[in-house]
Amino acid sequence: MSASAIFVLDLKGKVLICRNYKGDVDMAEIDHFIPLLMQQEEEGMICPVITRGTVHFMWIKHSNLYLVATTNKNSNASLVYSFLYKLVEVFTEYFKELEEESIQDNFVVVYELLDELMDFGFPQTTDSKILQEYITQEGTKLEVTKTKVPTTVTNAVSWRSEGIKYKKNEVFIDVIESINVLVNANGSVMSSDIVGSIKLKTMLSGMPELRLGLNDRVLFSLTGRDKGKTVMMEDVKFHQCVRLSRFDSDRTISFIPPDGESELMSYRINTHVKPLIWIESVIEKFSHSRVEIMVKAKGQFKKQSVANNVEIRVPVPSDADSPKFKTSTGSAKYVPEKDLVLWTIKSFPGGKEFLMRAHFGLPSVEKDELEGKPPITVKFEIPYFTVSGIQVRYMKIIEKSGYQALPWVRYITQSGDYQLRTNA
Amino acid sequence: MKEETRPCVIPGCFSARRHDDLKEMLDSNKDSLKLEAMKRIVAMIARGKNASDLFPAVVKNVACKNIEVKKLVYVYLVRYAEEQQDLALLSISTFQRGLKVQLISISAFFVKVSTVLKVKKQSYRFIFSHNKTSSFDFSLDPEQKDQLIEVIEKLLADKTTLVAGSVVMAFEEVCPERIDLIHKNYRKLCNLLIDVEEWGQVVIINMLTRYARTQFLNPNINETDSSFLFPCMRLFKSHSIALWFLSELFRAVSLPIEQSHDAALIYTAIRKILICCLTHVHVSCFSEVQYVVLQNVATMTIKRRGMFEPYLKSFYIRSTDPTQIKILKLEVLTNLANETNISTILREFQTYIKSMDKDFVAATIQAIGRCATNIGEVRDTCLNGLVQLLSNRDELVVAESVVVIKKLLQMQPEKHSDIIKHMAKLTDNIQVPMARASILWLIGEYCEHVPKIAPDVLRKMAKSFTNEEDIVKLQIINLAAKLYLTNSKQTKLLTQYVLNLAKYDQNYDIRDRARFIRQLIVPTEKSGALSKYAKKLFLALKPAPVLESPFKDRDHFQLGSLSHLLNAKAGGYQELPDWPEAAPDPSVRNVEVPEWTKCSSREKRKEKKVEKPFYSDSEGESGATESADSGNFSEEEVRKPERKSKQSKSDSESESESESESESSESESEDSEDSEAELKKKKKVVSGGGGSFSVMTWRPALKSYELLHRITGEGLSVEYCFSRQPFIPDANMVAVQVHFTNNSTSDTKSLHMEDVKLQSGMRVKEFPEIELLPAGETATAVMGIDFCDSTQTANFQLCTHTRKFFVSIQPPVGELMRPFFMTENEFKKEQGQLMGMNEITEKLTLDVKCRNEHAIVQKVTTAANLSRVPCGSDKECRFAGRTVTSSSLVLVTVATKDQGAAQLTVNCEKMVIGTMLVKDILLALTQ
Repeated sequence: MSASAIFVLDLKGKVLICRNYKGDVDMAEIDHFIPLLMQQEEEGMICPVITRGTVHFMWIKHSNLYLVATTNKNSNASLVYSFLYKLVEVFTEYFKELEEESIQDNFVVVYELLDELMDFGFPQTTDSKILQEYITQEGTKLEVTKTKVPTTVTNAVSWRSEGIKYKKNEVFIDVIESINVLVNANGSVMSSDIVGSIKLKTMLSGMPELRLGLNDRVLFSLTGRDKGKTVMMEDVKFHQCVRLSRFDSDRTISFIPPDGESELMSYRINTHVKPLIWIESVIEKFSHSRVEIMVKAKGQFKKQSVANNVEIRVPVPSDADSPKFKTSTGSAKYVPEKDLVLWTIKSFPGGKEFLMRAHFGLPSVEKDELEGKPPITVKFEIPYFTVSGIQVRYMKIIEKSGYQALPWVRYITQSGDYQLRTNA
Repeated sequence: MKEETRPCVIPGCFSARRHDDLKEMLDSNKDSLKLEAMKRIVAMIARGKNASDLFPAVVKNVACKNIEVKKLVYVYLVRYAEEQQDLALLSISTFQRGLKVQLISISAFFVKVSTVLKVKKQSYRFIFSHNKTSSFDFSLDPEQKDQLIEVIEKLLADKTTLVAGSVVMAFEEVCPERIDLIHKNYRKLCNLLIDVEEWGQVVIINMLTRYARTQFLNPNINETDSSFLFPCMRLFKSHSIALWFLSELFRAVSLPIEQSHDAALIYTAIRKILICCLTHVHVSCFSEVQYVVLQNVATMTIKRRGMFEPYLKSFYIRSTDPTQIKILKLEVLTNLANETNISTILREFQTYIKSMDKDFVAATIQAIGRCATNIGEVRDTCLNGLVQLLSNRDELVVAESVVVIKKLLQMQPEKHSDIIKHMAKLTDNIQVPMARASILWLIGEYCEHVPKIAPDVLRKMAKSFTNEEDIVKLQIINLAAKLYLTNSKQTKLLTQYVLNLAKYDQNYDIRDRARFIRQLIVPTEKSGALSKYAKKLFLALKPAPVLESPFKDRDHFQLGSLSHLLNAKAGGYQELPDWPEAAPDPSVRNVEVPEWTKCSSREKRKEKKVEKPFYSDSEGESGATESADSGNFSEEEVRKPERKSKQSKSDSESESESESESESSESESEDSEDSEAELKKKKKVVSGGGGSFSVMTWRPALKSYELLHRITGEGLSVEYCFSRQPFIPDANMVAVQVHFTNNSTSDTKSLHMEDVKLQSGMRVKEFPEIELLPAGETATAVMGIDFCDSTQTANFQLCTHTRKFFVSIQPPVGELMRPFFMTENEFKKEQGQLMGMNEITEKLTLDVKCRNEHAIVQKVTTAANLSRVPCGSDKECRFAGRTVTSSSLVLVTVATKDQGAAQLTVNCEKMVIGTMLVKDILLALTQ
């Protein structure tokens, strides 16, 4: 069905750990992996699946490791990749960092995990929260729960164990939106969309029943209310705890939350958004002498909001030298290894406009190769604000014991893939 | 542990002595030492080293009290049990003792070990006792297969979500041909699907797809039991992994959807797939996953361009994308290009050409070429653009352009001799062999268009012949031959020279070619009849190349599979079976309720709810997703897509489709295209292929009312009925299906509505004008009326090109509502809030014919557009709905007593509606 064996290799291709699940592929085949990969690298066309004879290697790279799944069957490709990424996720949860050293130091646990995550080439329970209940790093812990079956595996509510207790019952809700924008050289927005997620940090006792209210347009039109701003969400995805049937019938989001941190839902909104930080740039290149760059950044959001840690990256020719900067605010820095100017503004209030001028010298000898025109990219973070206007209207928390619990909501807007193409 | 495992890394450390150490440690009394030894051994295994000689020493410790040691011993056993079966068998009894301790993690290991040992019996028993399958060893002996199938059959009957994934997996591995085992479980699996863990979902959907392909007729031609689409679609709301099977789902539905009777449903499904795909395209966290998705999208865009076209912008390339992703996006953009969007796409391509990524630039130029061949209108524009690129500073760009231009010119060479001239000049500068070869070929092919330049080019080439690459040399020979044939006076000597050079070339291909051409073109006594035809051979008109998407031939592989990714059959690839010619008996999927209750102890718990539809699990407080979801779904399924048009002979058993509540909210967002599709499907006569259910909700045939009699209408007769469909352009309107029949001998033209007179608040959405209704033909249109939850009439004029008729539509009260699904608990809660004035109760004596539950349900749902509420008692039937305009709840309860006595209760906020509804239902039940 999916993988025959899973390998974790170091950068040189030495097998750090492996687990053979089906035994239908010779374990020695892995020795061919790195040479084949090298060959592809030389040819400049790296492909996530490498084939040698009847054996296929599907691989991903994570820090200084290769995770490789071998198969000789027609497996479901995206399943294998997702599983490999899931492996990374689980290992990271266990060892904080997944790298060569952490594998070396935790052979036994890694092997046990590999054993548990997949059976006969088929993925099993991969929720690291559940796994952590019965595959522990210290054997002593197990003694305590010796006679208890991990209920979460067989429970109806598999994502939350019973008997959780907190002194103070609180829920923290983070609404995080990242905005992807692509702007053409002539200043028109080519594509823009918002990818949002609602994250929870639950610190609640018992088995609470939560209900989340959003200003969802479909919900408002269902109930006939249309006051205030509503949001039309596309491609909504929920954590498994959310009752989808309720959402289907009356758009209420009700669930028993997992303990601790989790992502409750994610959504995508495909609308025309005004780029929050607008960049106008003039890059004048005088061959053989100099480049002059003028960048104007404008905050196109509410005056009350402030964008933090704004980073504007302006590309410069790779052979530029002797940088000189002038900025109306923040500081500019030349990053020669990436061929760009990095203009950082710690806080950027809405409606304001800032200016940066840069001057570079160019060598008198011009190089033959024509350079491309990389876009200007922008990074920022605007707290207490969402581009889409999504709002948490309420969060109802009901538990048998009837305790009072406090929901805390935080909004934040970030830049995702925010690119503005340049003319120069 | 860190320190201890490290030494193992030293090569060659596993000497016999070392193993002695370990053995000693294992034999010691101290648990800590044993643990240490086991850890080292496991570390050895993990690295792929052989530790089998320690087997006896390790297996002794299986009875060890320390749980951690025990666990590691099991890990060891799983690895080596097969090699040393006899020894491993000794430890079985210890395992069985371990089972009694109810240690799930240990017993799970036991299952693994024992399956490895092929001690099947025990494992079955165990699996049953714990209801958690871990794994099967599938490399089984044939004689054990039957036994195993038996187990799988039993496990398939299990209702827990945890088992479902594993057991279907086992089914697929062991006995995929025993499709008969699935019949009884088909509906259940559809229901459970949503709650199964995500990995299991993939397997189940794979299996269901295959099942659908063998058990249902092609939805293109016939209606299908596509009920598994419902849960599939819901999956999109929960897991991104759901995307994996989109592939198959897509294939299952990738048919001329307009004709399909489930059009609306399939539209929604495809839209979901799209949106899901797009998210993956946008959120490029894992580029490998994005890679797979884009490959699939690229394949899909070939067949279904229209679907993706609105999302063109999503595939714009960002400079941060990795090259492979860029090239795939380019592929998608090229596939999506058509007359309307080509200018935008070309503008976008222009930006890409400036990129630094050379492979990508080359791919872009090829893409431009493909756009130009596919879309005739822009061919010249593209060609001009490409010619401009010829003066680019980058040689690669120029070379690639040359190759593409060559292909384009081949389509219409006459017009472009100046381009050919321009390219001839380029031979001085371009060094890329492929480009040089292309130019030479062009000049040779069209030497008549450039009679002066061609010999000169040959002259230059002859000079540099020895330094050229092989492909260029071959083209030089070609050029020489062609020129010799057309212009032998000028080029005879040059050709001889070139052929002589080629004769002594290192490459045998070139020598060969030279010899062959010399024989062919230079007439000698020996040369045969062929040389007469040399001119025809060389200067034949060559067909222009077709620039095709490399994904064109990929669509015969299952989307999402490895084979599709590789574009080659991977081992074990199975073609999806074709739709069957005739539908297999649908009744095999019917489920007898009592049969289920016997199945396992788990079911017994639920026995008290036998009366409910099987799928709706308890909606208790513990209400995990399982209950909530399957509850809702059962309703969807019960009211499964089956529709009788009114022309079809409606026997009492016919079911008519009603879109479920959840569907309607989704389809609202659909564009009006759907309503046409809806219309079409209404015309379809549908056979009862969907099967029946243990508890049925009968959907009555639509009752039609007369709007215009054929005599008053001078040959035009009009009927209308309430289709009980959600009216897509406006959810607050009641859909009225109007059916026109032209009984006259002349055509009726421009049928439309005019002069609508309404009570205040009411609104009408007119049906689109019917331009022509030929004599004897019929037509159907849908209009929407917002009756404001009242039975007021809507008056309007029906106009033809000659006459106007005053007509009016008055709805029965039962049509002013739409079904609303709720559970029993919710029903009771809501009912409690609608007491007093809002409650109307009537006592009645049921008609003799309708004293059973079926008949009551049928009568009530005929009278009013309500949905059945699952209910624990057979003495009561409950129905729920909401009014169309104000969404007020309408709750109906029919409680039966002895001797046909019954009590009807209607709870509704709107008292007028309540009163009228009571009258209508009363009438329906007593007559």
